[in-house]
Amino acid sequence: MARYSLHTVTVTVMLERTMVLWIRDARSKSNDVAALRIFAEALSIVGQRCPFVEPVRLGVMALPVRSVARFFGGELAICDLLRDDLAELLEHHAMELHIGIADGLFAAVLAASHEELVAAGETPSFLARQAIERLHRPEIAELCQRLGIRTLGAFAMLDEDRVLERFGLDAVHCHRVARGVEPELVGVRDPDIIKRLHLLEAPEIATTQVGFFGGTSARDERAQRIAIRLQSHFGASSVQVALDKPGRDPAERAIFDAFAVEQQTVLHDSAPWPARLPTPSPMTIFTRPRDIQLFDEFDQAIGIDGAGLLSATPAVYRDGGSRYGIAAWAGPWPVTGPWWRQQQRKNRLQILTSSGCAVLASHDGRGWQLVGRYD
Amino acid sequence: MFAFSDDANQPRRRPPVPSALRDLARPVVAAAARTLPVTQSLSSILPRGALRRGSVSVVSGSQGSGAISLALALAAEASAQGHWCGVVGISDPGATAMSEVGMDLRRVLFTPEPSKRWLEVTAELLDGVELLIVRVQAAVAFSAARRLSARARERRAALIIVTEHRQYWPLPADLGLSIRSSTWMGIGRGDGHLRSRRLELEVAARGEHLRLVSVWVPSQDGAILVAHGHGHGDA
Repeated sequence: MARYSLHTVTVTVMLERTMVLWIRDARSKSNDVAALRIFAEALSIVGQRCPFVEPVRLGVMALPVRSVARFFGGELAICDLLRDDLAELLEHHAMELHIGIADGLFAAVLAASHEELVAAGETPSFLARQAIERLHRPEIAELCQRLGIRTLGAFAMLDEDRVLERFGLDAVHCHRVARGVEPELVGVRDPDIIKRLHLLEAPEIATTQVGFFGGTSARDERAQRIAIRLQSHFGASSVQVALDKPGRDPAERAIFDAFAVEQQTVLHDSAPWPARLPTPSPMTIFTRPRDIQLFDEFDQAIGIDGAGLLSATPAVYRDGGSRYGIAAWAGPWPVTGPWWRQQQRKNRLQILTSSGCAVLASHDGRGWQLVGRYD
Repeated sequence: MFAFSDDANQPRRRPPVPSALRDLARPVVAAAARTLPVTQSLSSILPRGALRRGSVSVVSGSQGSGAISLALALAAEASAQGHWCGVVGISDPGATAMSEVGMDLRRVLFTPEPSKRWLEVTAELLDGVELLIVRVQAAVAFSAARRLSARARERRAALIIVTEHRQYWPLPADLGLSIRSSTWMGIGRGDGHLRSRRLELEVAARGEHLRLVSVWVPSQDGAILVAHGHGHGDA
């Protein structure tokens, strides 16, 4: 847990309580297929108890420990259980198991190397004791040591703006990790580990969020790698792709979805648009349409009459506190849904404001909404 | 323009150049490796007819004036030819409109609301895509702009900044397209529909005179068309 202040608001960030299992020998033979096979086996054994376990890099796996600890009767208990589960496999291959628990992946990996179960809330002080080299950023470590900064704690004490000035963007990220604000350090995860495990065709690894990279060019792979990296930093929804979800009203449908490698081919050339409007389509489609009011020149509200026509000549529309003059308009065009949704009959109206901005409005029987803008 | 001179669709009028001379005149780095392709009609308004890798372009115009459409039109040809594009900070993109402009949405990564950390997101995305469109809604800090430009140059990606005010990007750009006015055609008072839009552009390319150009985004038939340029010199 960490607190930092953002202007006047104090934001509390809860890092997920994470357990890291480090299988010692597997790491040293990092390119060995045998090591990969043992690791895959260990993953599936752990996965039987903790379905959310995920590989971090060869020899290192992580899992959110809070719920499993509650289920199995405490963090110590789950550690013992997993040790027992893995004992046979690891003894057979003469490997060691190190387990650590802390808040956030970065701290948990360090905790595993110390075989420490860092108590809840103690993570910042645990991190503060660690040497600056643990960031695995030689340039930062060297510069910091010349400045007399030897621990992550001392590094975390630096002002973030100064860090940005002196060291650059990556160091700001390291700084956030050192302060315990961000859970994991870039470079801790091996982006290829899931792919390699897949290539092994290991059974029962149910933890893969990322699909198999099939038949793509180097360019595609590079873009996909960055997308995955961004998602690991900023959350799954931070990188999205356009997806075709046919049969729904495009102004409403969630056409953008989190990037995932397996959803490759997405939008057809002509996205379905029921009772399709003439092209061009609006460049901005508001995910939350705003209510607007249409008025004629005498400031009387305008709706749609029984024949599907405007009840008067529009002169102005009001969007929140602002009023926009209407220079030209086209429509209304009825957009009829499927027969089971006849009630949701809508009318669309293109409006050109006197300032030259074009928008798309929709009338759903109750009132007008601004659904798109021709940016 | 030169990037397209080998286009097979173009009828060849000039007699073939002797091979010895052609070898002499051949550039050391192929032009295609240094540039990203642009829709043929737009290439006539760009310096050397293409979007240079590692360059920064700034497309500015008020909300609803077509700045986003213009930026996407710049990116469309590269996207269609298989280059990956990134779109940062456009929170409600209309996918249909984007594919109408010519973007291949299978190779577009969207980061709709990167909020306070847009700088980090943008810097990272520049590692993975060859063309990045970033909408900025407030003035960019000088240091941030410098860092992004350096990153784009280093990763050989073309960075397109879309903004309401040219001043929001504090550095000189390799290419500046400022929308002076935008006029919709085809819509009347209750009849017709939005059909085409004429943009009056101020084109400021590094090392060239300021030019005024009219562009149709989109034109009658949906394509992008350059109407005419006013030549070099004053407005």
